[in-house]
Amino acid sequence: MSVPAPTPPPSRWAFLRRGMHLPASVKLSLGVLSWLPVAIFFFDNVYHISWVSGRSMYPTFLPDSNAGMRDLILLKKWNAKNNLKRGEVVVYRSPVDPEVTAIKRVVGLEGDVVLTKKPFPVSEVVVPRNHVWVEGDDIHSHDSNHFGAISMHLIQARVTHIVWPFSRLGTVEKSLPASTQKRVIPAERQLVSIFST
Amino acid sequence: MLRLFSRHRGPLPSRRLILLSSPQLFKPQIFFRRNGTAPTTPTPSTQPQPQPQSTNSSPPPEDDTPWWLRGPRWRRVIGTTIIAIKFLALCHLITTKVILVSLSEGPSMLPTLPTSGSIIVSRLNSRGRGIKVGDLIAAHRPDDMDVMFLKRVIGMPGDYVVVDPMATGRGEDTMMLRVPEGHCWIAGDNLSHSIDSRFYGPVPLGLVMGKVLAQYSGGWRWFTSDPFTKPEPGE
Repeated sequence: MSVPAPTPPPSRWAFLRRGMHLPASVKLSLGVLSWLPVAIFFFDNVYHISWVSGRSMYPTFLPDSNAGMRDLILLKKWNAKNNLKRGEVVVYRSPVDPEVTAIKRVVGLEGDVVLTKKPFPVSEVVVPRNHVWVEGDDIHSHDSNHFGAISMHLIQARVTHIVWPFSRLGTVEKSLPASTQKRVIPAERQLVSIFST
Repeated sequence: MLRLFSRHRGPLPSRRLILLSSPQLFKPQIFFRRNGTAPTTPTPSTQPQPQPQSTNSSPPPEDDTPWWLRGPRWRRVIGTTIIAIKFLALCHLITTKVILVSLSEGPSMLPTLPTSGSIIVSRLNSRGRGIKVGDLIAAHRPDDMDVMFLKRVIGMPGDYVVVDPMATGRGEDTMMLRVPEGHCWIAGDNLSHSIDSRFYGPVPLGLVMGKVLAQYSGGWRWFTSDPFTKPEPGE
């Protein structure tokens, strides 16, 4: 007659190490769900893709050659607020309605003097600290000429590529239109003019 | 760690035995053949293995190693890394979308909050969702990249607010202003030591990080949105 060896008391965390005995379908769905926070982090902070709607960026996005098709764009969210340059296309939270995001082109950085367009009450404005002046490429766009410079914190992402339609696949042009460029006096050029006179 | 980076595979001995037999895990092993000879193999134990006496004996003890520490070393390292990534992402999700525990500093909210304390911020109210006049909010300062503030909401979109309540004391005219759409007007409780909307104007609601629910350093204290509490009779 053999006496069974005394088994050690079960560990308090043994259930964690052994894993729960669940149906395979539940295990599979839990495994997929556990990746959800990682996916949310990626789409919120690294890269995202989005459809463009609205005509405010008319020649750049949704041109006539699209024939009613919408554009799919790649948004770079990592380091979006650092080292912004004039002419880059950004996606920002509208200061008028925080639940709405809008897409515009950066015209003036902090310290720049911008000659404003029609609805703005003042003809010439200095962009305040940590603010940017954004304008759409189209004439009829709801931009900084309506609500003034926006805070840098409202900027969500930079638009780097057009993904769809395939005929226009490629990077987004990062230059200001010539008519807009005349209306901006960059901060660094203001310093030069002070020292040269 | 011990299990993660050791070359041992198979079930671990029980926890008491680990302490006694842990040198076995790090027993020197010869990985490469020297002089063309075969690698040394561990000598078989001299003790006789207990033979199963009958088919009706108890089943072999279950492998008690956690599932992410089974298998070869590369699988253990990758599995643990993936679990760490998932855990960090879950923490990030909670602190950005649900709730945030943080430190507060500065004299601008002095009667309400101490100069340095710990607070709990509800991120469900970020972007101005469900914020009313009188709430304590945490937000980014619009004219600075990495400064956050903790102030009280004075006016919501469409409200008329007094720009500087202390202007009459200085002999200036008080000015009233309508808070623009999508913005809020904020001020500290300690007006003389507060940098708030009087200096940088109305704050866009998109910069609001959340509503301050409670303060837990120096005793729990929950903040309600009613700032107009009556003073104690003695004061």
